[in-house]
Amino acid sequence: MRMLLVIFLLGLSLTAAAAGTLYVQSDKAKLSAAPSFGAVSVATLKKGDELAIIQAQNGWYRVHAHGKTGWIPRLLVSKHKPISRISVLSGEKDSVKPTARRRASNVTTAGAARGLVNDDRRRANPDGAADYEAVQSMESDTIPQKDVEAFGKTLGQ
Amino acid sequence: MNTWTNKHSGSVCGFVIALAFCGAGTALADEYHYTNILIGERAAGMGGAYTAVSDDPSGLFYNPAGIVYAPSSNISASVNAYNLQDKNYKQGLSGLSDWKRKSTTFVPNFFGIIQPVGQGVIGFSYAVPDSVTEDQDLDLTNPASGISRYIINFNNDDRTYKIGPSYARAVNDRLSVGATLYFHYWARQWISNQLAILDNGSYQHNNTYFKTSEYGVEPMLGMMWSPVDKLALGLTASKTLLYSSSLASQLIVRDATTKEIAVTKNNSSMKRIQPLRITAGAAYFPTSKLLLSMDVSHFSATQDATFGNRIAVTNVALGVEYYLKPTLALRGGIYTDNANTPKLLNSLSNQREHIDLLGLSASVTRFTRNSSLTLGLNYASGDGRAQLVGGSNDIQNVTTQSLTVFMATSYNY
Amino acid sequence: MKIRQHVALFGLACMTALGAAHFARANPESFRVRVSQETVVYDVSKEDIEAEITFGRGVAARIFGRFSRYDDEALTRYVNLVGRNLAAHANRPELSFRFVVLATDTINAYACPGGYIFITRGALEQMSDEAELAGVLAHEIAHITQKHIVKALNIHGEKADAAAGISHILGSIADPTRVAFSQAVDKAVDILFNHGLDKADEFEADRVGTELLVLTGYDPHALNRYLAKISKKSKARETISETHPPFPERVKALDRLISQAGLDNIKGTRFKERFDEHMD
Repeated sequence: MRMLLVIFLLGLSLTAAAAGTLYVQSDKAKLSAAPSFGAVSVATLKKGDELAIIQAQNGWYRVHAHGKTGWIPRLLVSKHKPISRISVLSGEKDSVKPTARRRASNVTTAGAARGLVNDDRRRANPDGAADYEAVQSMESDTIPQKDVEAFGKTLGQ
Repeated sequence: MNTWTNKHSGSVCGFVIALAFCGAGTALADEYHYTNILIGERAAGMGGAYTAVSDDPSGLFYNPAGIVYAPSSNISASVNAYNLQDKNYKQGLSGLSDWKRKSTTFVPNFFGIIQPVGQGVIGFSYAVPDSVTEDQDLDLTNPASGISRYIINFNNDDRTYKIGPSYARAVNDRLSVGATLYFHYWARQWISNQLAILDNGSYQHNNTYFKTSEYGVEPMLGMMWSPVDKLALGLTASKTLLYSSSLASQLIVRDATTKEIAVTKNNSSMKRIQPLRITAGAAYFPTSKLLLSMDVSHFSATQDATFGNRIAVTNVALGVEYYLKPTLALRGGIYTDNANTPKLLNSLSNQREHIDLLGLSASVTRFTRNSSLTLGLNYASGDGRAQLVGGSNDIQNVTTQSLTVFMATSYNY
Repeated sequence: MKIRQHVALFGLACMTALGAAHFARANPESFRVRVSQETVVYDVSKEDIEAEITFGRGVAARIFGRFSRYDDEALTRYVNLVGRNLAAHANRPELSFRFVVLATDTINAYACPGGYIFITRGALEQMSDEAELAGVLAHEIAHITQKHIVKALNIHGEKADAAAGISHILGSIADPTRVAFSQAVDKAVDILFNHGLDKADEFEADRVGTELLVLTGYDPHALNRYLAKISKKSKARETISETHPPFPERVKALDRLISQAGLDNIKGTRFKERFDEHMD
């Protein structure tokens, strides 16, 4: 019996987790001396930089990066590495299968909104039509990255 | 199962005969208790207080109405990694101050799968709510006056199986109903082989064998209601209906005094009378990290001339689940497991033992996106009274304890 | 006299209980969700982001079903410059944020997962400078960086592995994933137009939105100013109050944030002239 308890406690300790890592998501980020927007800059970080979390407080993280310690707002970081831009617009290759009968009531069943597959997009919906052409036109409104950056520069950032 | 009369009242022979019937009056397995092994990855850590939770495959066993609220289709399985029980009869027979029995089992004791279909949810589960593999081997010298050597080899295999489908459906946005229909199978094989060599050179040899099986169905109806936010109330009713039962027994006695060998066989198809079980549960979900639940189960009393009357039993269980972080949860519980045998009276003999148990459970679970892994412990102990020696009014105090280590996993898709 | 009092109290207790039971929104689907079931807890995969974008497109398509697009190329480009610049200072570089003006007088803005953001012409009319526009867009971008709808509806991708293959076999009894997609879009539309997100999520979007304003270089008071201004307009109270917390609460919370975070001293730009140019 004692052996079992030892195994159990071992299993318990193995599940303890390590501290977390963050990655900078914005093009540039300031590592601040204090958790405040007007604070002095300790270092300048760039997209993809790895940060070791020391503490989290009020929408700021205290982190360790490039040998320095400082604060960074949560808005600029994420727990995964930056992912390059993703597009789902590679053509309508999914065939449209007949849909399951739509349940009209408010009763929700187990399993609403799990893993998604591309559905019949053109299916008319009693609660209002879905206009995918308009979405496509919205997606085709491109602006070159340099124009956005130039615009950003006018704000002094 | 005390259909045998004790013909030999002499102290030596009585000693051996009495021990032959030990198993009839004492049992580690399910007959005298309604909670044996806790079922289900989450419920087993929460003391089995699950009737108002039941929103995953374990719900198929506790309250099928709850599976309507499962967040996704799910498969769940758990293994009863190690179950160790022992029983200790104090101030027992002279020379046998510690009469112990041990049981160890390693059995997959739950598998369940749920899947939304149309407006409802179907499920299928398999549960082994009770499993005992008892083993006792003693070789004693001078255990009692007049006996120079006593040898016993004893084995008891006792297992209950439940397997069957379930279906549940929401009635409105806060009430759901469900049903499980289990096929029930109970099998037990009990063998006891005893040899007592007397000081005068003579010997007594008893060989007793019982083989029992019963088949039936156990329908369970359940309901889950959320009257106000963060609170769920569950109610279930179930009863096992047996349609076939067979009990075969054989007793071989080589009498020390008469030196005669007697073989007695018996066959019976009497069915055990089953109780009606009603469980009411409440669960409170104050935050997405904390869950508190409580169950009260009531089992009706039964009159059974063949297998013995059972008294009404009420068991209570309390459980808690707390997330230390989103990928790590701790569960704990406390539960009662009261005996369904009548309390022993000083004036009678051949009474079945009565031990009320109290159990504690604890488990830790690690989550990933689609799965979870749980490691847990159940520990139950209790003390009560028993009559070890057939034909005697003597009552012994008995303590028992049971430890189960379990592992479980779930996968959602 | 005593009996009547008892009966009255009992009756009151019953009515209160019934009233509480009736009006308390008991939604087992939501209160039963445990922290481990919130998808965003786990490492994000490419499939998850694709699922978010696909889902967001579905919701955006439904918004276009209700409103038509306000046809002004220059204005649309301007709104996109403001919005995309804001988004570049946030933590979702994998999304292409897109902004569209809706041709309606109602005062509102909508954010769909995946980066599809809508603002009404009526809302634009109420703004006095670019910083206020940035404030509203920052609030909507915050809904996306904080994944409010994704979390509420547990949107995630499927893993392509053996276990998922087994689940497909088992799941083919009824096709739950298809039903799930359209149901989820229904729920999102319901959130945007009827019930709204949890109050906590809206307050968080106000907070994170203001932080984004500061990081990008705008006047930190801009969002607060705008909310205080439109709270006086009954038209805004009608539409926005249905799906958002009451304006006074929001304004107060932002005042507290601004003083606590020491944002009073940060200047930040307003760009009134540039805004006025494009609004003509």
